[in-house]
Amino acid sequence: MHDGGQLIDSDASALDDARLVARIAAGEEGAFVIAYDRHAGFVFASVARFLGDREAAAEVVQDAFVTLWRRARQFDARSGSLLTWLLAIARHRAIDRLRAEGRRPTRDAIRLEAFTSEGGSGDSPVHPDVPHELIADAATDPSTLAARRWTQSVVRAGIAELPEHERQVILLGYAEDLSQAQIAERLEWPLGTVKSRTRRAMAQLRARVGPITETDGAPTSAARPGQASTARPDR
Amino acid sequence: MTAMDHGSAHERIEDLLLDPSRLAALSSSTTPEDIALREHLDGCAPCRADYESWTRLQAAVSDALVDGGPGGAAAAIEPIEPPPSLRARVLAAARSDAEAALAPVPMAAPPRRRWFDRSRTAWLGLAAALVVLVVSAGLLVDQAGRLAAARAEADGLAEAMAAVDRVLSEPQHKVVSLTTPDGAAGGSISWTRHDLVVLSTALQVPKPGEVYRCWLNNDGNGWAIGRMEFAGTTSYWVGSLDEWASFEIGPTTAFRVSLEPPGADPTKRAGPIVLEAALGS
Repeated sequence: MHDGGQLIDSDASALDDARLVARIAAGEEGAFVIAYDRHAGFVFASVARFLGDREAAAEVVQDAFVTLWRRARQFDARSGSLLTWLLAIARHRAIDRLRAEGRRPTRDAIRLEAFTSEGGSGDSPVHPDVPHELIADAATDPSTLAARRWTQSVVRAGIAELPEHERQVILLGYAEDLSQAQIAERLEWPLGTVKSRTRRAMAQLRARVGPITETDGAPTSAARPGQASTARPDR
Repeated sequence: MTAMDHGSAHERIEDLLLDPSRLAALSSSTTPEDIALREHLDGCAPCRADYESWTRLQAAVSDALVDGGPGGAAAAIEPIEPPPSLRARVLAAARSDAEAALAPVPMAAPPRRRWFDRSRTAWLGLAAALVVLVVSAGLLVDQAGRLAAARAEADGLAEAMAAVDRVLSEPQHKVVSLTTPDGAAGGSISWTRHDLVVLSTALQVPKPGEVYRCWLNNDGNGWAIGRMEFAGTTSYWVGSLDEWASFEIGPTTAFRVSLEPPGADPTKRAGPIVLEAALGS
């Protein structure tokens, strides 16, 4: 099968997403392939984490890109980036998929039980692929749970694509709760290097997944300056 | 203490950003810099938005990593690559979709004629036609532009009709009437979980620079979702609810079309509502 490689126009490779989508809307296959190469990896990584099923994730990504091909005319760059648009479509399809699986009496339906208040807890036999958060939070409202799970999946995909050094500082800071000084000591890096890598990592994450955290799937612990919160001592 | 300026505020936010919890804990901090930052944020909407955006991102990163799943946080952020075959699969699916949309209408093949069969009269006729073509080139350019515009309109309307077909073929589809401000019928809006199609013949073609913008409203909050297109006297808009995946149509959801003046901010309604429908009814 043709892999689309020779369709790529080197000029189109340099286009920003808005111009690329305009070319897709005009029926340019090469532009479509470039959009795929640019964004499919991230969309796939997000959906695969969300569904816990790589084959299902591939189908969702396929759906999302066919939707882009079919509806490129509707893309409005002022409303958000192409990646955000594709992720929104993928999220919708992925949630549809979970719902559909729940209607089928297969062992995979167990996965959906975790989305309901009745299933996924206690001693019930749970499919090993079921993301454990879905089981632990089974009593939570399904749509809230799905939204949170989606945000987690996208943010994890964003962290996963960071350069190794930046991923390390984020992991140690957020998962192991280490201060910048402790990270510097652990990794034997100068403190300034740790700080600059942390800043770079956060800036990249903001650019890639920031819009997703602005939606209803974001955790609500983002306190406003006037709200009470707790913090570690200044270190 | 002197008031903090934008630059200092951003520097302080970037310092606090280095620690997963200190940005969110700004309210309880008693350091002079943080008190000054709080005061600045209280009076500066852009800096406050920046602060809130970073705080939300930090909360999301914490949430993604603290609760990392069975393999822990490190496993949760292992890179995951799509299967190499997916690229060809997606391209094939898009091609197949395009072919389905452009399925040719069967036509009888015209009888083949050999070029040297043409009579001299036919050649002269062709030459005359060529002269006419050259002379009227300017007119043709204009005609071509009009033809392209007409084709674009026809394509758009065909897309809208195809979307209507998709919507109506779904058992769960819904249809409601659009009304003008004086209560007259103004068209219809139909939708499923994925598609939303608006058709109206009640709108005048907008003046240059003006646009008819479509909005979804829920409990006083509005989201701009697109603009009406025109094909002759029919205006339409085809949207995908996929694009607002977090948007649920509820009992109070309304769809509105406003006439926006030239240069209006596309995210805020500035013009009058000209069509409306209650989707939750």
